[in-house]
Amino acid sequence: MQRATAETQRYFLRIDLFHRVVHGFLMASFLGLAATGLPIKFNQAAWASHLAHAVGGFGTVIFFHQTSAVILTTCFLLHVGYVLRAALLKGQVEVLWGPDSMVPQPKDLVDMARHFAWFFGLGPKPRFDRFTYWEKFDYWAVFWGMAVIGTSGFMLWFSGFFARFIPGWLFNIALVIHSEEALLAVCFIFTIHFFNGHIRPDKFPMDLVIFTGRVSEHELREERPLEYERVREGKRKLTEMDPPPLWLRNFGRLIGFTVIAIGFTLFGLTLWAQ
Amino acid sequence: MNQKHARVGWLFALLLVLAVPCARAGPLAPEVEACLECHGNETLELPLPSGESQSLYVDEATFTKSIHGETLRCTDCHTDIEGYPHPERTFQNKREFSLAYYESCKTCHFDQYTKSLDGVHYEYVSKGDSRAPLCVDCHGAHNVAKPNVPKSRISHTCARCHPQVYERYSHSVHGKALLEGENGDVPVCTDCHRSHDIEDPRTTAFRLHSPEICAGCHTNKKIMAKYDLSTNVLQSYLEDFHGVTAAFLKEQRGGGGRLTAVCTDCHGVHDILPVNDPRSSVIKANLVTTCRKCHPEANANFPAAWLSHYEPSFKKAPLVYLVELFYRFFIPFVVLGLVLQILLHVWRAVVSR
Repeated sequence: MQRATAETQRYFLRIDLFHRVVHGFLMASFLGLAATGLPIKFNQAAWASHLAHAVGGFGTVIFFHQTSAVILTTCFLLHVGYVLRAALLKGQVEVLWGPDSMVPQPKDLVDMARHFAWFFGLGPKPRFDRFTYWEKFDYWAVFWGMAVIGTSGFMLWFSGFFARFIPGWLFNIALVIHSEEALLAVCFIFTIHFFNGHIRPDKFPMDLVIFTGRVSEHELREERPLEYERVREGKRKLTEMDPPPLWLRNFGRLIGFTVIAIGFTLFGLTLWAQ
Repeated sequence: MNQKHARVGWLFALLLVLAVPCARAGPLAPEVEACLECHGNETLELPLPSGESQSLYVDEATFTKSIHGETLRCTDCHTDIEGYPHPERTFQNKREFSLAYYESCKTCHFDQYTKSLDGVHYEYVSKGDSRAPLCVDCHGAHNVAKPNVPKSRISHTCARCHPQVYERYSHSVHGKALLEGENGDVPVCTDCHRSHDIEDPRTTAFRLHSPEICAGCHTNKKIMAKYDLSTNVLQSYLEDFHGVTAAFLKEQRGGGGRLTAVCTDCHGVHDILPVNDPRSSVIKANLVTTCRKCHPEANANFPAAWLSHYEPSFKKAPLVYLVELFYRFFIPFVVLGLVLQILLHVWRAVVSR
């Protein structure tokens, strides 16, 4: 039914080009880091040396890991810069607190409890605003992961330099954290984040919003009724868009399914190595 | 064989057996006796164009005592000699003389000969390097004896051409135990380098698989228990930075040069010292100097990043152990919890449809 009205509906811009591009680089560099990091973590598995071999040997694996790390770090800094600029220079304090902020709100806890109650048929479905509690969890999991894995990674990369300031035993901890936290990130992105983007109700086989940036009025009303109300009441401005063109949707599908295929392969190898 | 000579030889042999019954383990073959008629003369020499002089003297007692004394006759090895006068042979120098008989050994010792063709010594022999040893240079010619009786004999044999290595080895933990106590557990040269198919130790390939050589003994529980040494050293190396890198490099062509440390880079090669020696390269006081060989920027904090082959545990590196333990529970908890949330979400959506 949704599909029949797709061309006639109003569309809103949910994710602007800056965030879509940053997400694109984030995605590519994360895959690069996972594909080159997993063979190092599971070096005693047979596929690890084959994979390292296929990439071009150990030196190349390290090179791509470090290159991807620099790209991902840049994405991280761009994002932090974006938030700081919005909050401090543009005076958009709503990015720090309220329904338009990624910062967890008391409402998120209530939403989660009600959501679980709804799962078991114990109440109505909670009405979400712009960001749901699991989206915020996704966001902070990735934020935290980048900070922790990135810091420990740079410590190991420039160990000689860091040894001037920090005791040696910290490197052992950094190594464990870098490796385990990265394993968690791989498990998280290749299962939870993929599930959320693909098999979440009404979104199967893929939520294209991260590629097209647009949501239909129908989707907005169903999934984020509080945000929709704010838009209708004029409390929140959302740019109205044309429906996403076919080429853009197909581009999204192509990228999306390619990433899924790579991600599931790497996740499978990870499970196999356990 | 000349009949007349043989008969004389017989008589001579009998006479000798009667005269000195205790001089040797068994009777000499008559042909040997015949040869010794001339070659038993200490002054028998062959002047060579090089100015050297090849002694043709064979000490009867030496040969009799040798491992071949009871089993071989002269012509078994000197196959070109069938009688007297000998066929004319010309040798420019002593090396040529040795080379002429070099392949005699393979008649019986074919497997060792074939192995030696893969060895670094043969590589130099085949290039015409006159310093590279032939069979007789290590084993002797008429005085061949078991090369490893006593075990230290092997190291002494190699020392004849490799005196500096021997000197370092003799002061090492392995060398001292061998040379001062004939300890049968410690390696002599051939235990690491092998004897006939000696690999060139200067190659990257040798470097990268050298931990397997050390591990041969250092993962042997029976031997290590005697000296209270850990057998976990290989596994802990393989799990650490250096070992992981080495495992990858081993698989690839070229091997990446000296990109990672193997056992010998930290512990030394021929000069390995026990850890209770203040000069040991791996004790705390000297470790930073050792790290700096590859990490010139290393400071006093740096070596503490190395767990000294210990597994993290409550006693050793408790923080590392606790962080590992935390993630062992944290990862499944987070992932399973979130999967459950998604499955419930999907289930509710399907049910309400």
